[in-house]
Amino acid sequence: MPDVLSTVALPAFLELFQIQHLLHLLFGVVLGLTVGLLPGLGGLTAMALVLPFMYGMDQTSALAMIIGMTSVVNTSDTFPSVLMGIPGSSSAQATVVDGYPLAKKGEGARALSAAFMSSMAGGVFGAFVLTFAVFFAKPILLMIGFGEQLLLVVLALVLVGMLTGPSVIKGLAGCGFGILVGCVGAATATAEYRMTGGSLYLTDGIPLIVLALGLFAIPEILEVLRTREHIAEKALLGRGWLQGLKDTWIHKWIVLRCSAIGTIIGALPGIGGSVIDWVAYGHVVQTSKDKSQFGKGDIRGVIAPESANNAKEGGALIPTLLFGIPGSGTMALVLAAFTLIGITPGRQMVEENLSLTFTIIWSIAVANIFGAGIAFALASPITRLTAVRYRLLAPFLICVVFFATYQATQSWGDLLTMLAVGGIAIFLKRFGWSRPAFLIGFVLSSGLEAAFYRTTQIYGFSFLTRPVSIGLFILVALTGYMAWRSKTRVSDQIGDMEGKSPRRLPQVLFASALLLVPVFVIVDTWDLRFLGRVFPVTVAVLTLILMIVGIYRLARAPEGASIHYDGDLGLDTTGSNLTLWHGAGILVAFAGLIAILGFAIAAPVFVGMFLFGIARVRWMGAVFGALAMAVFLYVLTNTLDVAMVEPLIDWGF
Amino acid sequence: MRLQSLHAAVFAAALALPAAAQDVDFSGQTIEFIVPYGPGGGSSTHARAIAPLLEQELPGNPTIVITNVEGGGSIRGLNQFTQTAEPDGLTIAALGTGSYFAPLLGDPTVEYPLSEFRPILASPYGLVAYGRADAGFTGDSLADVQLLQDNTFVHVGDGPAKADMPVMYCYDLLGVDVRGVWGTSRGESRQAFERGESQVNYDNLAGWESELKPMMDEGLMVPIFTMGYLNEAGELERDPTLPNTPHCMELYEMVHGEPLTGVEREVWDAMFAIRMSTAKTIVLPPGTPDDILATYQAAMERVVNRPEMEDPTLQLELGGYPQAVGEAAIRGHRQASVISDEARAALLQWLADTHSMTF
Repeated sequence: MPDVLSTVALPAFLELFQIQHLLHLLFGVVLGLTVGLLPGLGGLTAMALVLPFMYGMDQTSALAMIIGMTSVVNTSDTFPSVLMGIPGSSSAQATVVDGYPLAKKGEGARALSAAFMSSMAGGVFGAFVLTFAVFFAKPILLMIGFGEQLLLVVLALVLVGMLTGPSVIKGLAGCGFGILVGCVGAATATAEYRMTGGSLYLTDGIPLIVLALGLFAIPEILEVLRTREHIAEKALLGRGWLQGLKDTWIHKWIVLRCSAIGTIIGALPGIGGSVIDWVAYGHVVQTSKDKSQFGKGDIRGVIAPESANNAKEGGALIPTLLFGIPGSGTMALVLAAFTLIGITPGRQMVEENLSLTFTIIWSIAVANIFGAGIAFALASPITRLTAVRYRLLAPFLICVVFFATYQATQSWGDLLTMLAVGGIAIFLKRFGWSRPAFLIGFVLSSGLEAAFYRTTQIYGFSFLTRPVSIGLFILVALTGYMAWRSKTRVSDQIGDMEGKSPRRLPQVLFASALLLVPVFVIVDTWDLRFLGRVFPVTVAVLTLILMIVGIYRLARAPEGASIHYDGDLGLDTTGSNLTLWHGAGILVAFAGLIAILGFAIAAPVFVGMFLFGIARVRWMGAVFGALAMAVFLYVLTNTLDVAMVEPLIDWGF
Repeated sequence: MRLQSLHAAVFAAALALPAAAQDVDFSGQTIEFIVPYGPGGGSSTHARAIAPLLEQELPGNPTIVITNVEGGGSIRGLNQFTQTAEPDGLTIAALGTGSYFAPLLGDPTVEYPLSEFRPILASPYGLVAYGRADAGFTGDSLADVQLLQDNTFVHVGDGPAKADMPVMYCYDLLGVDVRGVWGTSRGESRQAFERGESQVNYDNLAGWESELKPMMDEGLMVPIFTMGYLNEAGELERDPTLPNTPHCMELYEMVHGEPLTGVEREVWDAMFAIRMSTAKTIVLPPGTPDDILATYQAAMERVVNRPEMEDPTLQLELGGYPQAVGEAAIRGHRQASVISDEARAALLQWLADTHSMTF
């Protein structure tokens, strides 16, 4: 091992620091940061962009470029999550929960710089672990069978217990809804279609980013429009970046723990990268003594997910390199790129090509340092956006959300689903149904069903006698016990009702409408084969019971019970002439405009109309805004592999 | 649909008469290549391997842009291809195994006329089924079949009505019952096999050298049977990658004492055509005029004879067998897409009886 470090690791390090390799790495980093900045675009888009240029590049340069790119995509996606409340990608959702409230307090720069420092530490940690893992991890990974995967999913799910919000019933029911929505599409065991209503779009299930944007971005945009002038409610705090730096140092053990969580989950099969940020978030909530500020702008809620989601990239490379089996879509493209530069992906990659492995490891580390450095430098200036009059930003943000949504599968189903989810999410937020719990349920749904089905088929209950399973089972029990005993339960932005007591009827009506979801699931899946229906029906029945109890409590519980909540009571809407219905109307009108004109024309038109009609800028300003949008879209379509929403009306060209 | 294709055929015939193949020129044009699967998958890799060579061989050296249109297996992309592609040679598409199985099983979301596509390249892939040495598999095929018949081993795969179908059918023909655990990708299946959670598995033979042979060298697994290989004369023979391993039909004969015949053989031939001989196909849209087809056929003929085709990495991406172009591609596509009602009924009956799946 020390031998290897001096004969292979050091030369690989020196090789990487040759100027043309470093330039390629830097190019990859800048590209990755840029693509990551745009919500909805991630490593996949960036890889697709550079793949055609890979032919004929030397191996080290090419590797430096692709690894540099994929390592930092999760760094810059923090900008929209923190500053605008728009989840930047499938791995930056948990950051929204505390990052965005910090931005609202004028502490956006602090949140961002803490995020970037943690990202860097996490990324370097992941690379560090990878260095040793390539030698030792194989037997460990081989111990993680379907039974262990099941327990890992259950472990992640148990953390929902910390994120239910004040009302446990509403939180658990919300998680149940998430699981049920995750059942849409083909069943794992039988490949039968569930809850698709005959639509081809739904056969692959609802894309995560579409759901996340609908859940978080739409309610936020509408709320800011109807309540205030700027995202930051207070003046921006100066020197925020210095504070962020200090925060990261103070919480260095959180950084370390969450980096480890990110690396481990990234490396293990069966649980998936998109839940890592939530696991880290749940972990930090659970292990913190003072939980009162979580969901309202606790810096630890930013540090934890950000350390984890960069660390996962190093972790995800462990199985990719050891088995030649890609763990994600991005990793599949990374392997494809390997082929293009003459490296055959496969099991001997590590053994026969150790210097290549070290080039990769060093590239991850150096890319994370570059990427965080660049993003860090940009944090303060970009945070000023939160002090800009929101109505000047809103049309652009709405366009970005629609654009990002459409990149999921590039079909109209994306937009319609996002709008429908957004419509429901407005009320989830208003009546205090934990959106994190919903989202975690959704993300873990397919993994839970698949692992459960495969475990029972292969092992029955005997998997619980396997050593790793026993350890995991104890961990699950402990975590569950701690969640059960916890007095504070966090959710996203449970606001203050200012001492007013909410009316019961709207809450009961909304909950009763939600009741239709499990009922529909049971009816829809009833005729399927046993293995196709057992999971959704079980979850639906449990959700139904929780809902009935919940509705009874909503109607009967005494004043001031934790189940009652109406966030609208705490909103001061006097400063805005727009209501919720105006906001919703604007979104639907925009969708209509896209249907007629297509996104490429509708977006600039919408920006111009919004700026002129609602933000009340002079017409020249509105035209300028529209032109800026048009130029932006033109550049985007001509550089990246993205698509604009086609109009539903066929204009014949 | 039928009227439309008749129109197209008349139109095509009218065009084909005066125009000769060499008149087709794609100078300055952009050709859209629709891949109905995700950008990291095997079909995309295949397309990316072929596209740059095809660019150089098509008259006028057009630019080929690969568009991934994912969704519903490959159904969404091929539906879109059928609806939007003009038969002018400026749009081509890739077909995968699922593109053939979906219409065969009567999936109601299929809106593409499979047999009317005009194929220009079919890349054959080979399959090998293998078992864990610690479960008792020895590499002596007859003994291994006996072992399979005496036990119920676990097989982890994507599903009996999906890419696993030929292997499942072969097990059934050999009187073998495996316990299927479904819904995994090939990569996940192989990891389950390496962990010992499944005792039998199968894989694409293109990855033999880099992925499977190391497992065999470690003493982890032994090959049991291949699906065989259709040589240029159209005869089934042992896969050239594993000349010592019998193919499924050979094993059938060894086990039952007579070759497989009748409607069961017809079903097997259809599966073989779909999963092996036309595993990855590139097609022009229905109604493409003959001169454009001929131009593409000639270009593809030159592509497969280029020196780059010898490159081992490219061979890996293309399956490692001689590529079918011209009439051979058309013949393979027809065998994979035109199946007698009787054989189709027998296939559906088999899925219902052995896997309780109804369509």
